[in-house]
Amino acid sequence: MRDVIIIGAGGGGPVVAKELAAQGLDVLMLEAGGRNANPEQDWTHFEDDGNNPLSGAQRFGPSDRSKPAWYRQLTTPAMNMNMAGVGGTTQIYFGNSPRAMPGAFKGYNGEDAADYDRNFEFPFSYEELRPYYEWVEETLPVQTAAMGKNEQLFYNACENIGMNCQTSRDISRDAYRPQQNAVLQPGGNAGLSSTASELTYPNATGCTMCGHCVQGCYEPLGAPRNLKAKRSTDNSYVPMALTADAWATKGKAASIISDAFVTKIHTSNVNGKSTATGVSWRNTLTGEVVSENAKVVVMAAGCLENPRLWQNSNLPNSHDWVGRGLTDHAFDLVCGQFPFDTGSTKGVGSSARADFPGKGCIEPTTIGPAFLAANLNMSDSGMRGYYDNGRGVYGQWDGPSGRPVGKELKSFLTDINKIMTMLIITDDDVEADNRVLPSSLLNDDNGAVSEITINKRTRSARTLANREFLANKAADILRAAGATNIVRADIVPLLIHVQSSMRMGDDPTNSVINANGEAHEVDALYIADNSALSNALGGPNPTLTTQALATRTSEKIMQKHFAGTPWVTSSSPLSSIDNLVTQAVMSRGL
Amino acid sequence: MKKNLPTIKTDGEEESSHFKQRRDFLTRSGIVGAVAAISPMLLASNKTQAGWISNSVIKQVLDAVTLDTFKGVTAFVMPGNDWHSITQGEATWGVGGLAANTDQYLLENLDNYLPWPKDIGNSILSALGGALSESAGSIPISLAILLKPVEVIILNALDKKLDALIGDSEVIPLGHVFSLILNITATIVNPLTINGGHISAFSRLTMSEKAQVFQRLETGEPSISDLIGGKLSAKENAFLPDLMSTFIRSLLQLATFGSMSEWHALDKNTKALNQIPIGWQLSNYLPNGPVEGHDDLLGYWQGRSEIDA
Ligand SMILES: Cc1cc2nc3c(=O)[nH]c(=O)nc-3n(C[C@H](O)[C@H](O)[C@H](O)COP(=O)(O)OP(=O)(O)OC[C@H]3O[C@@H](n4cnc5c(N)ncnc54)[C@H](O)[C@@H]3O)c2cc1C
Repeated sequence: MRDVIIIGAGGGGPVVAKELAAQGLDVLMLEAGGRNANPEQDWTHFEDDGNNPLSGAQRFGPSDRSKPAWYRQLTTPAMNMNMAGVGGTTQIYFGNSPRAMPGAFKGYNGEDAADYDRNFEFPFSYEELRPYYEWVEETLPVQTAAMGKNEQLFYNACENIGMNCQTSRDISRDAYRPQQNAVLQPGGNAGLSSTASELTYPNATGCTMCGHCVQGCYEPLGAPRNLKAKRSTDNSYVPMALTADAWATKGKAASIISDAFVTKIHTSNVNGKSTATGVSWRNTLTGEVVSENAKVVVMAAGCLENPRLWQNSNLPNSHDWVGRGLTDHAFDLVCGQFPFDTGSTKGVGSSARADFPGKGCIEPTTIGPAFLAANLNMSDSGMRGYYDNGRGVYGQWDGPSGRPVGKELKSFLTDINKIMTMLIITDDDVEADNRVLPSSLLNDDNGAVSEITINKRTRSARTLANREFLANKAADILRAAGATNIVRADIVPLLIHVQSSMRMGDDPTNSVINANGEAHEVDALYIADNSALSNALGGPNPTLTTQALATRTSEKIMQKHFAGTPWVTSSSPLSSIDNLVTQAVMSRGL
Repeated sequence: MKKNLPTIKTDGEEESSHFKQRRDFLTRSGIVGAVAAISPMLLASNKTQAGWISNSVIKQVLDAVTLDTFKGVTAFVMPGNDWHSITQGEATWGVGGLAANTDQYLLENLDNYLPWPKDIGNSILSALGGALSESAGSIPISLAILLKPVEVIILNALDKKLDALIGDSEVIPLGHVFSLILNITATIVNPLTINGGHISAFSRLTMSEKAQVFQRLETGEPSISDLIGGKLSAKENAFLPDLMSTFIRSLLQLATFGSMSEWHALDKNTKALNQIPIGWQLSNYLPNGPVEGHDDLLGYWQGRSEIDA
């Protein structure tokens, strides 16, 4: 019998593992994908080898790459991009770590309060989450992004269109700023050299500005795992959880089992209420099924898998909100072509951003040619010059929205270094019909697969208006930066930021977990990943908020089930790059 | 659930109309063209006799259709100075996606890795076979591909084999299903492409006709889904909208991803490049080869390397 079993080692799960292991609990993490213990050997910076959604190292699929990826059924056009393996989707994230917009929380009474998704706010105030933000920001750690050519161009363009620069972590007005990133700042030769032999640790520390965040970070070469530049959880929280005995006074090292796909959560009836007692998982390499009990079970399998696991386990769902209210930030892409070098393939995935409270965010991104070409092809507006699929929207960009093909695509990609790609991250509404269910049609080895519905075209009027506003704003910034040709792709849902499918709320008729992160209808069952978020946060990238919330939920678990006391406001966190952690990581060969 | 294409009967009035339906299906899907194109090789393999054909031969035929179709797709998204780009009326001076073996890339990925349910491809193929001749109309004699008697024998044998494969729910690789759908739709967009220069009807289309094929499949006006929907089970039908639009988007995404990526130039064992990938040349990506970092650091905006609160 474990104290705590955590399902999924992605953005959220390892945070709970680290926090509770530091309190001395016996914690087991179960991860469906591979361990990814040797990224320097096993990964490359190549786009197909890394990001091919069917066969790449970074896919949602078994660690045995000769096997097909895991399937998810889409009932509406969309594209999935979540990863399996220790670190989950943070393996390929950019590390952008903005705080949520205060307007997404209960009790917000700013002038623009009505501009947010008021029906589905967080059940507590922004102020209450602030200490947890600070704790996570120090642990990861989160730092101000360094500037390369791409960012400098973006900042100058924002100034040119009259925007202000934000210099605080809290978002309060329309403004641009350097990202607060979970990426270590460049040190030594990093950022100053392009010669591989000069970029090994310790001659280089932190981000080498290689431009390959999306293929997983293993820079600088030779650095201990917890000193890799990007603070994906495989480089930060997981090493800390596995070495908690070495750096926390009463800590106990957590355990992790990879290639372990949890297929059932077990419950029993305690005092008339369903109570979690343990889980069963399938070893994806051997097919063997294993069960283990725990006093507390934490679901952190991600927004698109938790609802499936819940329903496949026949857990209660009397208000039918399990899987409902999925938000995806209604992404879009607006790309500019420039007559000069923009540095678009260099540096962190994204190091700059602009926030528009009540509407969402825009960020310039660093991506390679295959990724860019494929993403443009996700258009929902047909093919430029041929058909518009009932859309073909006009705005500050050139011509109708749509995917360029043939000579137009080829000429657009002629020089990837002269492009700037803006990601539109919309503050989208929680809507009950956007949901994840177990499929009635398809099963795989792990049970009925997830069936995802997120209908871009019928999103709320506010969501659609926000998306249009941001797309036009992005084109304005690109134009001010000097772009001579701007294409808006108008993509179908790109499921990169997925939130709120098991949302937290006070009202059990439209939420799954209470303000402590515990399920309304199942005791000792907690949720601590993006699915727990109450809404789309106003648009900011979700992981930092998930991690802050998971830290808060860890305290609640400790208080309710293990007679503990909260620690976040009464102590200081240890950074994941602290020497104590480094020594333990190195001596244990992690 | 056993699914079969309408079977070819051997004699009588009804039988010959069945045969014609069947023949039309095989023609539209490009299989007749492939047999005509490669039958000398089949004969040389000496394994083909009436009523019997080996799995390797069937694969050879299907691969030929599929690869040619995927060449047509690749030329569409990333044209070059290749024959397929010239046929579509949109070619460029330098090489395009075909130089990166993107046709092979699509075949390998779709056949081996696309995690669609195993028998959905068979169901669709089977429904298509039944539905097409009803709605697409039969192929006029003037457009029919003239086959030598021996090729007719091969075709009939192959047809039986294909039918048996579908009926037994042996999995038809999805790459083949994709290419058959594209070709059948191509012959609806332009019936004259039933016959001509390339193996597949799709590759005989002009750029704007190819776009019409994608439009029909993506937007459903009139859609393949409508065409075959009635022939699938309710559950399979529920899967169709996803299938058709994802199919088109996945295909276009993969074709561009393959064209621009390192796939064809990567030694899978050493994980090193054996040439500068075509896509990198086309986009001036990493002109000095792979890197571990860039000298791109300009400092911190307005000199701020940290903020307090
Ligand atoms: C290209 C890209 C860039 C991004 N950039 C940013 C960014 O800059 N900032 C930001 O905040 N966010 C970013 N994101 C999003 C970020 O990655 C997610 O917010 C974060 O990873 C979510 O954490 P999670 O724990 O909810 O899910 P995941 O990280 O997806 O983790 C879920 C884990 O559970 C495992 N799992 C699933 N089912 C089971 C099961 N049944 N049993 C056991 N294990 C299971 C999965 O394999 C996975 O490892 C980005 C995403 C992408 C794709």
